[in-house]
Amino acid sequence: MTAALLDLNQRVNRIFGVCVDVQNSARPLLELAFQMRLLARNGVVHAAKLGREEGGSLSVLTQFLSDLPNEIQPIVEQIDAKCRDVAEAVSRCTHVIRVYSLEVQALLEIAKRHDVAAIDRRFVSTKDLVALSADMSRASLTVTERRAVSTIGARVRPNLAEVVHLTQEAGTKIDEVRELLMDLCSIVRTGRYISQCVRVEVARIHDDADRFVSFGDRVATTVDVLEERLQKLGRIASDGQRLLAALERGVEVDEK
Amino acid sequence: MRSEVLYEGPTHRWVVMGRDPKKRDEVIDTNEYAVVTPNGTLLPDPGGIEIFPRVLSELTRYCAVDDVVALFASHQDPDIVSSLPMWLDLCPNVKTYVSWMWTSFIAHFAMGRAANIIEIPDEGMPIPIGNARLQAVPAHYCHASGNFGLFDPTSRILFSGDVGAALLPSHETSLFVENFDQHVGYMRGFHQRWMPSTPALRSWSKRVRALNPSMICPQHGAIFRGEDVGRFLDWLDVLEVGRLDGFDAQSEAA
Repeated sequence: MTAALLDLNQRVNRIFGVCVDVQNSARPLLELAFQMRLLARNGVVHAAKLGREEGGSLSVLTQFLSDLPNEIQPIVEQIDAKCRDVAEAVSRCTHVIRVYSLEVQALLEIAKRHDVAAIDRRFVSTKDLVALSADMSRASLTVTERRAVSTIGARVRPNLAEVVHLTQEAGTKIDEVRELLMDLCSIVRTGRYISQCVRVEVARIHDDADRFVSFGDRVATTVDVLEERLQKLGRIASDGQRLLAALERGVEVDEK
Repeated sequence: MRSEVLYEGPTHRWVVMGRDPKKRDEVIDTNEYAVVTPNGTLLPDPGGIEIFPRVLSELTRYCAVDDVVALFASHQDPDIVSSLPMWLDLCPNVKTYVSWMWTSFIAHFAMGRAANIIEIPDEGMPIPIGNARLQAVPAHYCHASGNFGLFDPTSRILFSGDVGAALLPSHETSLFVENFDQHVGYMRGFHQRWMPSTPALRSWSKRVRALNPSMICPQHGAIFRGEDVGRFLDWLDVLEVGRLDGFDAQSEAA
């Protein structure tokens, strides 16, 4: 594989790794949502015991907290499904890059035999393929070599187009995952805020606030992890967009 | 990669391609063959995906890529046929002949492309290619449990897959066996460990003697021709295979 194609493959594979990270970060939220619901229901019971006047605010807060899992679960499921879609697109893309790069290598082997220099070409755009075809058409190829170049040439272009298409598909899905993660973060941030309010209320009216404290801490940690993943995904999405733009222009992909 | 015409006849020719100098060291060296006819080309054991570009490029010296109409896989290993998706990409109508045991296994190599895989029954079958009439010759348990060679009655060339294979040192660059006694040292270990059944090997040797081949062309190592064909069959007749020297139940328990 040429260095440029190897780089392309590695970048596409990196997207796969991020999807796994996102899935691993999002899935524990389902367990957290379940715990949130249990604790909220517990809070509702406590509030009821305290009576209407003293437990009123706790009742409203815990009821609100109790509703949040209903919003979390479908988003986590959507993220999971979209990450699977991205993984599939990435996996297909890797296959096509492999096929494409081997076909380009076969063309280069024939080119080399006839002293057609192609070492400065990257073959991540059709521009280089067109240039190589033009160079080879001027070389003294045999009839069978010319037919081979034509047959291989007829495949490398659609394969490159498929690479671009699959990378774009993965890029679109990643943007969708990023939006879902932002929704999720917003919900979990609200959960963190409400849980802090609940903690304050419970500390004021009840001695046994430990369970709510620990719950609040876990929500906070989860929000931190999610925000970190969101930033990472943002970076990868930008990288993917740059990669796509570079593929379309057929220029060097900036490493930074 | 080097290549040479092994046989040139009125209806077809046999080509061998091998000794790829660009092959990475960790990739086992393989020989690729082509049976080229005016009406299509068959590739016996087209090779692994790693060496595909060089095989394809070398093949263009003898035929056009879209002339490839059939692949023959002696068995299911990756060095035999992991290039399948590449051939399917360039020649979507190519037929792949393989033992019935491995049809669904090698389909894993197809990478989502529709593969026209033709089952070879245990007893073998004729494989026509242009005007050449090749024959799949059983070699079961001589390496894989479903294993075939390919015999051409016209040239009397037998493509033997892994039977007769040798692991050659890098200085041995000839495509043919030059010194049989020395060559035995390169192939003994391979046969003893990679072949599970001595009775199966004896049966294969008997079957092959009846074919009276002019050349025995393995997928690894060097080609036997002339008197070396008989020497090789004689050597096989006394060879015990399926050996695990230095590793038995006792050492496993220890």
